[in-house]
Amino acid sequence: MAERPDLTYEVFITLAQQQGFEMDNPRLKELFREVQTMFRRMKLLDQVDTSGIQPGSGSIPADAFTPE
Amino acid sequence: MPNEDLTQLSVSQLGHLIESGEISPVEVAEAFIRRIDALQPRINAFITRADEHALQAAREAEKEILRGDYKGPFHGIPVGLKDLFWTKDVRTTSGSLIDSEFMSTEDSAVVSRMKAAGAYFIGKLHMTEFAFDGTSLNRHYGPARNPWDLARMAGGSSSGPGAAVASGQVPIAIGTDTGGSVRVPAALCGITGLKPTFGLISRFGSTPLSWSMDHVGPMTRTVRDAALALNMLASYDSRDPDSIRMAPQDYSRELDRGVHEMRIGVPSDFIWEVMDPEVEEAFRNAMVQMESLGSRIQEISTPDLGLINAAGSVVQTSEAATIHRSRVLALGQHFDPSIRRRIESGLFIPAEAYLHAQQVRAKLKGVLLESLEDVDILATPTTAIAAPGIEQERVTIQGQDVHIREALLRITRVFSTVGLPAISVPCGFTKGGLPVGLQLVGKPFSESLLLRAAQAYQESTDWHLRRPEPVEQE
Repeated sequence: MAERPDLTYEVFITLAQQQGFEMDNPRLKELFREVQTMFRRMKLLDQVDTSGIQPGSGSIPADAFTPE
Repeated sequence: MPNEDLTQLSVSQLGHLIESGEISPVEVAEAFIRRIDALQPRINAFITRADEHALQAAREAEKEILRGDYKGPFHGIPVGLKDLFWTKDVRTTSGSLIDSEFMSTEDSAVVSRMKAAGAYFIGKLHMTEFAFDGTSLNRHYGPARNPWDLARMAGGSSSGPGAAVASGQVPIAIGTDTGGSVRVPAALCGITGLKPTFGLISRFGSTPLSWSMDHVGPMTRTVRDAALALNMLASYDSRDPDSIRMAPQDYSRELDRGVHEMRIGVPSDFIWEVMDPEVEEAFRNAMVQMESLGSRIQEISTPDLGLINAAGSVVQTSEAATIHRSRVLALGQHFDPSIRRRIESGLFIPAEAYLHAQQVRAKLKGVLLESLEDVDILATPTTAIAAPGIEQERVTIQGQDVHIREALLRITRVFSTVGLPAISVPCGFTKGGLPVGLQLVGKPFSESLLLRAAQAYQESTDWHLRRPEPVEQE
């Protein structure tokens, strides 16, 4: 998978604007740190090869296992 | 029996006394209401009390039982509900200011199942805002305090259920668990908390945090009560798209079969990278105890559990942002600032990253299940630490500076992400008198075996019988 670029503050501000955030809000700096944490997790997951894998969810088919 | 002592009994014990006519449901309701009167000012386990509703329901139960219409072990039993389960007569705040006056037009599936079993709710319990935190902080309703030490947190997000059951304000509570929100407060408060296999209990009528990770689970004093609660709550419900169609089972039937020859796997790495030594000691002692009961303990290698957690975090945050987007953007000032930030951060997760996280989740779930092939259940400590201080944000564990949320949720989140059943039972106390939780994890739909293992441990120890002294002191 192509390496996910780091999230710069400028890109973050553009994205925030698109989402409808108020741009003069001093809170955005704190939010940027939170979003960076999330991006680090996404980058971590990028190491996992998922070719051929269907996106899962919590669901487990009831007939996949025999209850004890 | 003096009425005050009723609040120290399990559901199973209360049920026997009600069935035999030794006590009446109204006596039970009155005893718990008095207990709540005494403890609510100090513990703050309730957001909304429902005394009148409870007394009315208890009177109804009494009439039904007197005319010979006994419905089973929950008939006439008061239940505490995490305040995200809809109750059509009482507000559901979800721990938020925004929903502080929300009245649903129908009951949640949990409440309907309780009513059918003759149980009733006695109040709506404390939780962190929209269930998006593992602490017991809530800026709108104040913190829920840990009955073992009132200066410490009860854990979350089902903080009220943990504190209320541990302090005898309710004999059972129902919580939800997205990353550990049933098991973490159960561990920190010294009670039993069960998160069943994903989809086993309907979530209809509960405020969602993350559609693909939310589970409903009972929080009780004993494993037996958790099994009885699962009997009451587990049922297919077409109103929950992830509800599983399963034949009804009696989860209490095999509780006392023991653990002879049961193979218990202990993960060899991730769990121990961040671990308080006192918690580890209690866990190791529990494994010795399980071995003495005839089970076989073996270390096992698992896939990178940290990656499962990262996938869970991306999925949960993305789904939470989708659920709360319009309100967090329009009314963000009414949210707790830290919860607001966490929800908002999900708005920046691209669709492909969300789907990739779901792919990773699917792949690693498969690898984890393969690694469980040679064992019957897994065992871990529930949390890496015992209850931290109410406002504590970070903790030092063997020289590592760790965020409280990480220390509380890093082990439980793994098994919420992959949807496996897991239970936390008390397995000891720190030198400071705080409970420590043992987590047992099963394969999908193996609740009977999981409960059997937990019961064998609990019946051979007395940790669950200890009661917190601080709440008894004036």
